[in-house]
Order: sequence, then structure tokens, then C-alpha cells
Amino acid sequence: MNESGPRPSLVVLAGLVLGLLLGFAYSWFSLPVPVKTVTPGGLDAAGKDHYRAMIALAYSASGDRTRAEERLRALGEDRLPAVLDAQAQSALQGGQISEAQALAGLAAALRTPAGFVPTASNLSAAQTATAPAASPTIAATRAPAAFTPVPSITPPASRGLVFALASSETVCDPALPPGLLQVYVVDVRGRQLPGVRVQVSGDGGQTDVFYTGLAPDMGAGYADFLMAPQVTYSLVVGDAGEPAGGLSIPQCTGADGTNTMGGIRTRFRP
Amino acid sequence: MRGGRFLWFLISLGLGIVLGLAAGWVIAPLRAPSGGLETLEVSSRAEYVLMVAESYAADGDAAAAAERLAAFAPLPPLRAVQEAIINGGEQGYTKAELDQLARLGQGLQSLPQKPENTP
Repeated sequence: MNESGPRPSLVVLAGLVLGLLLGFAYSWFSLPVPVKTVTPGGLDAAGKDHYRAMIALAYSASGDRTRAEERLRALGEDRLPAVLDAQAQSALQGGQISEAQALAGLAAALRTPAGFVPTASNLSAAQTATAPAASPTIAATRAPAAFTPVPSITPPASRGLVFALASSETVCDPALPPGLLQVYVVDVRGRQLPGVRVQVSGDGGQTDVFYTGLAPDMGAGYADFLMAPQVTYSLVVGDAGEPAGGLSIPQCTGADGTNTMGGIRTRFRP
Repeated sequence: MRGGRFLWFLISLGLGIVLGLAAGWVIAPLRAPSGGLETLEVSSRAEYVLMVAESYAADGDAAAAAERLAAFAPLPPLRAVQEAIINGGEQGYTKAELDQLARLGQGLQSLPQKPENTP
């Protein structure tokens, strides 16, 4: 029974290995890969960025906010204004100005209550805000729906500056969204600074980051945020600014004695 | 006994092929496209193309529109618009929306065609 040739176990092993290789190679190269389609919510991060940017560009073109909101819902994301702001900033840094402005315009629209309609008074006031705000009393109000892209954003010149709160005032303007926190950032000479990071933190731990200059119709150093009722916020402007705390929605008393929610206008400088 | 060894070799080879095929099938989903725009379902793709058409209606930039539709490669941009018109009609898009899609298609046709690849 002394046989020549390989041992039986080696024969079996060689067959198994060869079969595995053949089977795997066939399935890899010849069998079709099942194509899986996804909804917008199932897109990868880059795909979602593309889709979001396209929603913003379409909104910028049509002004149809309801449709834009429907499309954004398909992405299944929370905290959309913050997401849009962050993407706008990325687009700005990538030199995609029109995309950045479309994203910022949509973010601003989403922060505005759906029923808010710009009036002639706040539109004309918004136009005055495009002038450099050197005066400590800034008489600007915002009309987010009247966002007009202007490719005039310049690279940030604020790196290394430490900003502190220079002034804060209550704004009781019924034409503005209730709880609007307006932020103006200027340099030592009073010139508005674009691209400055603004971090707002609520006492519940919620933090949002946005940037100045994404609403050029309001001035290069302007940014805003919609505060929630009964939340106290603190602001940090710039990469290492001094926190300005205790910001919450102020109460305004109308001519008929009724209480309404107002806003806050702040001014930061180095 | 050589015949016996050969039989065992064939049996193990067959078993190996089955296992290899199964492994290939298990790993296949990992090879599937990873969720880029080209994997969008048909109705969402039509919605994306409509957004491109709305943007094109405002700026008239056919080249930018073609670039935005290039995300569906290898599907040519014009083909993506044609599909969107068909699917949009089935989904109840308004006439104005279908017109926008059609104008986008016309705009894309006005672009210089890319030369065919030659060996």
C-alpha cells in the first residue's frame, strides 16, 4: 500500500483552495453587482452636500421656500440652518461665491418665521446697512427674504484678533423676526469684517457656529441668529474672543401695552 | 488509488467553488456604489434635475447645468434630463416644471458636443 504522489489531505486542500479562488474570481468579475438606489437621506456626505447646494441654488432662483423645505426634509437632517451655514462657509473658502450666498440665503430664510414678510420700512433700512457702520448706533434692520447675492466677500482679515462686546441694545421692531440676535463685527477703525466666526451657545448646551459676511446686503460684518424663548445665550466672536453672556429674548411693550418678543443688536470690536 | 485521489480533488474543488461564490455574493454589497448622487432613486433624481433646471432658468448657464448633472455619470446630462421629463410627467409635475426641464434639455443641446473617444 505504499503509494506515490501527494498525500490525500494535500489533494483535498489544493482542491478547496483552487475552488475558492475560482468561485470568488467568477463572482467578483462576472456576476453583476446589485445596484442599490437610495433616497436623498441615504446619500453619502458628498452627495448630501451636492443635493443641499442644489436646493439652495434652486431656492435662490425661484424663491419658493415651501418647495425648498420639502426638499430639505427629504435629506432627513436636523439643525438645518447650522448645517447650511457650515456648508456656505466651506463653499466660501473654496471660492464658490454664488453657491455660498445661495446656501447662506436659504439658511437665513429658514431662521425667519414662515409668515415673515419684508416691509418697505425694513427694506429701506436694510439698504442703509450696506454702508460701513462706524457709528455706535447701528440703525440697520434685516430683510432676509430680500437677500441679493453680491460677490464682494473678501477673505477674513480677523485672524488673531480678540473681539469683545462693544455695545448691546434691545430692538423692538415688529417688522423683524422675534428673538433675532444681530451681530456686527468691526475692526478698530469701525470697518465691518467678513468671515469672522461667531459661536453662540445656549444654556441648554446647544451650540451654533456661523460667520459674518454671508448676507452682504446687511453689511460685510453682519451675522444673525434666531434665539429661542427662555434660553440664555453667550456669544464668542472670533477664534478667541471674550464671551458675551446673558443674552436672551427681551420683552418689548407695544403702544397698546401688550408685551411682545424683541431682538438684540450687538456690536463687537477688537 | 489515483482515481480516488482525483475524485476527492474534484469534490473539494466543487466545494471550494461553492464557498468562493458565496463569499463573492456576501462581499458584493460592499462593492456597490457608496451613496453618491448616481445612486439616487428615480424620483429623487428627477427632483434634482428639476432643481438644476430652475437654476438654469435663472442664470441661463448651460455649462454650469451640465457640470451639475455630471454627477450622474456615466449617464449623459441630456439623458438625465430626458429621464426626468418622463418621470416628472408620471409624478405629476406641473406643465411649468416640465417646460423648465425641456428648456434645460434645449440648453444642453446647444453646448458643443464632446468629441467621441477614438482608439
